[in-house]
Amino acid sequence: MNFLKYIAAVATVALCSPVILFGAVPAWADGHEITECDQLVSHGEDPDRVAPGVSPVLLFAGEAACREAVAKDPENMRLRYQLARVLFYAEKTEESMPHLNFAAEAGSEQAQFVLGYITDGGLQGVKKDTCKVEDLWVRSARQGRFAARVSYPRHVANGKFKGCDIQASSSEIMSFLDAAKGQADGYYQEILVEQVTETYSVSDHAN
Amino acid sequence: MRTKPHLNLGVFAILCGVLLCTSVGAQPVATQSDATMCDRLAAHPLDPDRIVAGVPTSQVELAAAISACEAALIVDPANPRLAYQLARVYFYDDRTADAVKTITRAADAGHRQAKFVLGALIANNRPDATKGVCEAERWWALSAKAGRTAAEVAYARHATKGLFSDCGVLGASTDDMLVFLDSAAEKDGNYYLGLLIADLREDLTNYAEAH
Repeated sequence: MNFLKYIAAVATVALCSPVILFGAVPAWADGHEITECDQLVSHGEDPDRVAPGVSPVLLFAGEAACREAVAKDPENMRLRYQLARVLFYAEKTEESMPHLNFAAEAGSEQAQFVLGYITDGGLQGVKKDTCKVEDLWVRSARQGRFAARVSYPRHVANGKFKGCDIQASSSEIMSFLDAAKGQADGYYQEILVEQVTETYSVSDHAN
Repeated sequence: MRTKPHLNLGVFAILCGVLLCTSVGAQPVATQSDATMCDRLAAHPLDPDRIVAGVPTSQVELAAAISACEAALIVDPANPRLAYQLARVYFYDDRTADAVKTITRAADAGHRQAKFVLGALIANNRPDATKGVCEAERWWALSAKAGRTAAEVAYARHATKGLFSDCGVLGASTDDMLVFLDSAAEKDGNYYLGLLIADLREDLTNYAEAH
């Protein structure tokens, strides 16, 4: 772990922590308790988040809050994903992965996408496994995660899942892209969807 | 006998500051303290020349923003940032003729976000905008060369798809487009933009081989 990152994290915690500024008062949204872990580590694009997304994450405070939240509610896939998130940022990769796997298997579309992304890139020493990525991303795309709905067709079009069982048919892939078009938020997402749609439409898998 | 003059450190610092500013000879740069009500109500969050954080499209209060920007532009008529912001809110208010006229004024005055948006209005055949993709090419080349990320990406994407093939001499070469994509990648770590840039690099390689 980079020492400067820790110094920056400590300083940021001291200056900005909502716990310090507002106190750790539990709140509720749609029946979900908003924990300090949610307040400090939620991802802005996680459809299951119950608090606004946070970036950059406060490493020390976030890790402590999410450890505590997971200890109290270990079956909660949202909290397990968030603990995995903060641990991965803190480069505690081996400890992070079981939490991320748990959340993905429990059905978190965000965890499925992120675990696929990490596995695809072999990030921080995680073993690359293309067919695992295919499986994770198709599940995430089926649940509606925008990032998976563009990344999965893009990989299919570019032949990145060669040798794997491609679970989505061409019509299902086009349905991912059609849905992504409606979900796109901002210029870059819109033209990415257009670009991937064009690339996929002329690929071997589509024809 | 003459004594050596003593320079107070504070005065020295001020003199150095003045000297530095005058030696650069640049126009005064607007800062947050110069922000008008028009900036607060109508700045675009992705405008690289905005001087406040910016207001997302869904949160713009149209009537108040139009009044504020019209008033600000009366006070400072040569300010391209304010002209762009007024054009932005006119556009959201469906006053497209006013929007195009005002954004053209901002683009002509060198505002890079206005150049990108004007190019996009033309490329998308929006009402009241000039017709012709080659006019969009011209504005996007200027905006991209000034460092607006969206124009850097849009230019490379349209050029590699052959949409500027009837435009004669283009405003940007293949080498320029490579620089655009490098520049866009450096400025923004966004996942989706990263995917787009990776695909455009591949398209640009194919385009360069064909040209």
